Amino acid sequence: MTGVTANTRTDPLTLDLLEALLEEQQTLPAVDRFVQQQVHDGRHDAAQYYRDLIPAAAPAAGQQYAFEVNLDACSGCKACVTACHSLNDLEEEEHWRHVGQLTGGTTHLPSIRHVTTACHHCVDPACLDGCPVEAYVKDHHTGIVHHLDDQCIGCQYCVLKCPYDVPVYSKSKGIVRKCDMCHQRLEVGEAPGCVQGCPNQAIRIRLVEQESILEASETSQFLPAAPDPGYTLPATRYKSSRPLPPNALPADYFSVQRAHAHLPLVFMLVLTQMSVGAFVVEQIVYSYFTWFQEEIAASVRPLHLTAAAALGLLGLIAAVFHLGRPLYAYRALLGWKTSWLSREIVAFGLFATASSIYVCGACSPLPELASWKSALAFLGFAASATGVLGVFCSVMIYVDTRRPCWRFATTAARFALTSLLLGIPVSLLIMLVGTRSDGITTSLLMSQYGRPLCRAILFTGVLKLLIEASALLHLGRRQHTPQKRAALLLTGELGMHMFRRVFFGVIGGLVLPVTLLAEQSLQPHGYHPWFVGTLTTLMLAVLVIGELHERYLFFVASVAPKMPGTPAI
Amino acid sequence: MSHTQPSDNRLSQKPDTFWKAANGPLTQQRALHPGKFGLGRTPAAREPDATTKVVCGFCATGCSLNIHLRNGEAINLTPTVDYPVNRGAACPKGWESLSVLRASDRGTTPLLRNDRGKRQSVEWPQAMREFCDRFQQIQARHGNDSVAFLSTGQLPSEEMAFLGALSKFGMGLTHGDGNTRQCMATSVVAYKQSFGFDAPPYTYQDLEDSDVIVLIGSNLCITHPIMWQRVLKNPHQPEILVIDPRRTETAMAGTQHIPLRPKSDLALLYGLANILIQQEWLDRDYIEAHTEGFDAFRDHVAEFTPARVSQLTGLPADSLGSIARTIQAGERVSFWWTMGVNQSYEGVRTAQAIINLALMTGNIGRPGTGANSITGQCNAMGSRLFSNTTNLLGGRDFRSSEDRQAVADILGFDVTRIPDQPSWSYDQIIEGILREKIKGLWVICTNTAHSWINQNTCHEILDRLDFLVVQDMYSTTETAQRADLYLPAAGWGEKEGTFINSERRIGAIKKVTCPPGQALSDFAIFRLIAEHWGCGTLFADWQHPAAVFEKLKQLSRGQPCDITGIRDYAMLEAHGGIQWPCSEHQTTGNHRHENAQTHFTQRRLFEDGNFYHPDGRARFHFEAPRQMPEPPTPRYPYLLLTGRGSAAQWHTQTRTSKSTVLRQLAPQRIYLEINPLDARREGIRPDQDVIVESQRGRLRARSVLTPTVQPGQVFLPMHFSVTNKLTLAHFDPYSRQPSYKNCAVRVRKAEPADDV
Repeated sequence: MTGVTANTRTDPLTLDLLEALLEEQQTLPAVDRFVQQQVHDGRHDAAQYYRDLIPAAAPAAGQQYAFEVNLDACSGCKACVTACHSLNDLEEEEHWRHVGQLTGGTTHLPSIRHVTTACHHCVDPACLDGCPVEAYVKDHHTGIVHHLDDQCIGCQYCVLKCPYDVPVYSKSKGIVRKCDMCHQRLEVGEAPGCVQGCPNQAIRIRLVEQESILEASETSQFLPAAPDPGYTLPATRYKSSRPLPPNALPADYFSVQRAHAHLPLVFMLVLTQMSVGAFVVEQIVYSYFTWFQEEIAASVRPLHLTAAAALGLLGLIAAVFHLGRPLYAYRALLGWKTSWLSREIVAFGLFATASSIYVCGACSPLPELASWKSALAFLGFAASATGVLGVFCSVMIYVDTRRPCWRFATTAARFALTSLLLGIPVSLLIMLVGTRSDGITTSLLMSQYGRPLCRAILFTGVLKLLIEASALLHLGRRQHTPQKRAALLLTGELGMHMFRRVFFGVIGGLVLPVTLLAEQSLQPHGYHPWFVGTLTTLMLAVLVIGELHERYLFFVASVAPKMPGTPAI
Repeated sequence: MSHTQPSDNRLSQKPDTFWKAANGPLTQQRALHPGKFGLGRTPAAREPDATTKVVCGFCATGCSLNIHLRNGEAINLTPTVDYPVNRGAACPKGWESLSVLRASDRGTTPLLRNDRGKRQSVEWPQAMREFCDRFQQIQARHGNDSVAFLSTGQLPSEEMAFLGALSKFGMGLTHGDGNTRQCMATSVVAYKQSFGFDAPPYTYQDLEDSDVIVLIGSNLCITHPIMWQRVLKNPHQPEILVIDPRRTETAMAGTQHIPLRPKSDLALLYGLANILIQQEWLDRDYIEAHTEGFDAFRDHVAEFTPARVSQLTGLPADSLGSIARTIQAGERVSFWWTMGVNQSYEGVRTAQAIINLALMTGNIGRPGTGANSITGQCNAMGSRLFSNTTNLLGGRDFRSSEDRQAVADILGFDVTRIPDQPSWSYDQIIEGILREKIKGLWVICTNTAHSWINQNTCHEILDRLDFLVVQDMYSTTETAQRADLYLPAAGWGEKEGTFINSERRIGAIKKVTCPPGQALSDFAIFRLIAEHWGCGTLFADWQHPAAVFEKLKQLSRGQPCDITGIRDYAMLEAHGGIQWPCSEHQTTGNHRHENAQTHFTQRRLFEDGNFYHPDGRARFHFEAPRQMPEPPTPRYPYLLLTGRGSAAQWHTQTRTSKSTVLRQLAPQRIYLEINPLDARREGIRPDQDVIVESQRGRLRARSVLTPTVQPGQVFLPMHFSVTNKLTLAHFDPYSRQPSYKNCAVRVRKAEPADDV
C-alpha cells in the first residue's frame, strides 16, 4: 500500500462527483416515476391462470379439500416452495412445502420424478391427537387442519408426531407453524400460494371424499418409502399416468441424518426417571430391608426423599426450557383425552404434588400416630405410583409417534432401567452419607445393604447396555430400514457419542460396582468409608453422564420414515 | 366456494380466554389482506403502497417480476401476470431475487490488499487512484494492451456499452471479453456464419405453436423452468424429442428421449440430415429460394449412413429413422439448444447442423419453428450487441474502417481511439497472462476463479498478474478474494438499465432498493473511473443509463438489431418489453405495422425468408466431426459431464447461495452422479464420499447412484467451486467457447487418508 494520505491528489471535481454518485445511489426514485398500476381492490390478476385449479364449490358433507399433485407435470423447479414462502411471509428458515425426488428404473429406462409435499391435511391428524393444548383444529367444513398459533406453547410434540415433518418450530416466535392451505385465500376464491406459484400447474386443490382417503390408505402405498398412510390418512393425492418403477426410491434414501437432540428433554427424562427411581427404591428398601429400618430411617429417609423430590423438580424445570412459551404451559392440561404429553404433564404434576407432601410429612417431627403413619405410607405409595405413571406416559409419548426406533418394548425397557440404574446409587449414596453419624459402620451397611444394591446396579447396567446394543443388530439387514439407518448413524456419524455412552455405561454399570463388590476381600478391616463414598459418588456421576448420553442418542438417532428428500443433503 | 370477506385470520369467533386463544397477535401475523394492485391476498406485514415491474436478473428467459414497494423500497415480489414471457410464474431464483441482495458479505467499501497481503477497507478516492495508477503504470511499462478486462452477461446493456467504450476508447485497452464466452459464443458464431448476423430468430410463442419440439443438449425444466412452462401451454400435444446423454427431468417429461453418446450430436444431426435427404423429406422450394450451399452439404452428409451414425452415437439404427420421420411429420418443427451444444469443442458446427436441419425442412420464419439457441444469462444477448468486446458496438466489426467511423461519429469520439482489431477471447486473455502479455486484469461481475475451465491452472495464472481488480456485489467470490483491489458494486434491483432476453426482448430493470454501504452501481463506478483516468470529458454526456440507452439506439440504427423505434424505458414497460428489431419505421408514420399490438408482443425473424448475408441467403456450414480430445482410457475410464444441478442454483452460486430459501432447495454439497452398475464395480455405495480425479486435479464428492447417467459416464453439477479442477481446457476453434462437458476421470471410494 502506498502511504499517500487520502485526497491529496484527488481533484475536487471528482470528489464532488463521488459524493453526488454516493448520494444518488442511496436515493430511491420517486414512486410516481414508475408506471403505477391501477388500484383495484380485492381482484387478483393471476386468477386467470389458476381458475381451474381450485374447486368451484365448497366441500359437501363427507368431503374435504386436498392437495392433488400431478407428478407428470412437476419438473422439480421448486417454485412452489418459494411462492409459499413469499406469499405467506414466512421466516427465512421456515418452509411449509418441500420438494423431494424419486429415482429408479433401469439403465435402459431410468426414471426421475420430483415430489412436492406440504401438510396433507390428514383425516386423522397425528399432530392434533398429540397436541397437549388443543392447538390443532380440523375444520369441519373444509377438512383443513388449522394450527392455532396463539394457543401453542411450543412443546414441539406435533413435530415428533407428524410423520411428514410438517409443523415447523420457530425459535423466535416460540411456537410451531404450518401450512393452512392458504385458507384465507381459498375463502375468497383465490388459489393457495403453491398453486399460484407452480409454472406447470402441477398442484391443485381438489374436493375428495374422506371415505375414499380411508380406502386408499388400506389398499395403496402413499409414496415409496414414505410413512404408512394408514396412520393419519393423508388427504394429498399424487397422480401420474406413468406408474413409478418398482425400485423407485427417494433420493435421500441412503443418506442418514441425525434428528434434533432436544437437550432439555434429555435432561428432563433422565432427571425425572432418576427421581422416580429413587422413590421406588426408597419404597422397596424400607419395606424389605427391615433389619435396620428403625435405627436409621429417622435420619436417612428425609434426606433420601428430599433428594429424590429435588431431582424430580429439577427434571420438571428442565422441561420448561423445552417449551417455546412456558408461560402458557398450564394449557397442557387440556389435551389429556388424546395426548400422552398432556397425560405425562398431569402425571408428573401429581407426582410432584404427592412427593412434595410426602417429603414434608416424612421430614416433619410430627406425631408417631398409627393413622399418620399409614397416611404417610399411602403418600409414599402415591408418590411412587404417580412417578411410575409419569414415566409410563413418557414412554408412551415416544411410542405414540410410531417411529420404528421408539417401539414400546425397547423404549419402556430403557426408561424403566434408567429409573432403576440411577435410583439405586442415589439410595446407596444417601444411605452412606445419612448413616455417617449413626455409628453404623460402612462395612455393615455395605454387607447388608450396599452389596445387594451393587449387584442390582451391575445387573441393570449390563442389561441396559445389551438392550441398547441390540439396536446395532439392524446393521446386518440388507434393507435400509429406519432402524438400520439409526444403527448406521450410531456407528458412523454418532460413533464418538456412542463410544462415550458405552464407556460411561461400562465404567458406571460394570467396573465400579464390581470394584465395590470385590473390595471386601482386598481390605482386611472391611470397607473404608471414604473409599466406598468416593466410589459410589463417582459411580452415580458416571451413570448419570452415561444416561444423558444414552438419552441424547435416543433422540438424535430416532430415524423415521419421511417424505422423499433430495440428494446430497 | 363461499366468497365471504373475512378481514383477518380469525379462526374462532370466540374471544380469547385464559385457556383458549385463537385470535391473538401470533394469529394476526398470518393475516392476509385483500390485495391492492390486482395482487390478491397479501401478507398483512408486507402490504405494498405501489408496485412496479422489473425484468429478472438471473437467466435469459427474462421474466418480469412485479416488485411490491413501500415508500419506494422493495418489500416483496410476485411474478408479473401480464408479461408475454412468464405469465404469472417465476422460478425459485426469481422469487428470491430480493433476498440475495441482503447478504452479509455484500461489499460496502473498496478493499485494497496491503503490504502484508491482507485486504483492507479504503475510501473510494484511494481505490480510484490505485486503480488508475497501477493500470497506467502497467500500460506505461508493457503497452496499452497489457491491461485487459473480463466482464459478464449480467450487467445491463447501458453499463456494458459504458465499460466497452471506457476501456477501449478511453483507457486504451484492446482486450476484453465476457463470461458469455463460456455460454453463448458458439451460438453467436453459428448464427453469424449461417444467417449473416447473430440473430436468434424465435419468439417464445413458438414453444406453444410447434407440433414437434426438438431439444438438444438442454435440460429446459431445470435451466429455464419458465420456458418449460410455455412448452406445457402448447395446445397441440407436441412431440418433444430430447437429445441428451442423461435422462434429465426434461428427458422424462418429453415424449422421446434420445440418449446418445456424449458429443456424438454432430454425427447424429448429420445422420438425420442424410435420412431426410434420402427420403426427400425436404422443403426444396425453401432451399432454392433462401439458402446457399445445400448441394455441398448433401454430399457431406451422404457418408453419415444410419449404420455409421448408429455406431458413432450408440443409438439403434432404426431410432434414427423414427426421429427423422417425426421431424418430417411435423408441420411446425422447432429446434432448441443450450449448453450441451454450445459448450463443445465442435459446438459451432453442431449448432449449424441444427440450423441446417431447420433450413432444409423449411422450419424457420414461421410460427412454431426455428433453429433456436436458448441463452444463459439475463443480458448475454445485450453483451452480444453492446459489450464492445469481440464485436464493435452494435454488432459491428472492429476490423472495418467503415464500422469504426460509424461508431466514432455516433459517439462523437475520434476514430483513432477505436482499435482496429477485435479483442482476444477469454481463453486468449488467460493465455495472454501466462505469456506475460497481460499484466493487469479488471474483472467485472463474474467469477473467473470458480467458473473457468481447468481451475488449478487458472488460479496459478491469475496469481501471475501484477494487478487484479474485481468489481462485484460480493467481496467473497473466489475471484474477489484473490484481487489486489476490490470495488463494491450495486446489483440488480439497485440500479437502472435494460436487459435483452433470449428471444431478443428488451426489458427494463429499475432501482427498487439501495445497496449497502458505499457500494455503487457499475455505471457510477465507470463514471468515477473515467474522471480519475482523465478521460472524463469523453464521457461527459454518459451521465445516466437512459442517456446511454439513447446512444445504443443510435448505434443500432440500420443494423439488424435496430431499436431506434423504442422511445424510452416507459415504452418498454408499456409494451411488456419489445423484441428487436424495432426501427423507427415500424413505430412511426405510414410504416406502422398493421397489427401493431400483436407485432409488439411477439415477433420472429426471417418471416420473409431474407437473411442478413448480402445476398439474403442463409448458408449451410458443415465439417467432419472430430475426435474427443480426451476420451476415457483404462486409467481414467469415465467421461465426466458437467451441468446445472438444480433450478435453485445459479452458476457459481455467488448470488443464490445468499438466500436461505434457495440454499435449502439445493444440494448442500457437491455430489457425483454415477450409474449403479459402475458404482458396484468401483465398490461405491450410495451417499458415500468418493474421490473424482482427472489428469489435472481431484475432488471429493458425495456419491449419488442413479441410472439417469449412462454406464461409463459420471455427472458433476457446475455450481460447486471445485468442479472445474477436473475439466480440460479445450475450445471450439471458431467460437473459443470452452468445452466443459467432456473429460476423462476416474472414481474411487474416499479413504481416511485422502486429503481432499
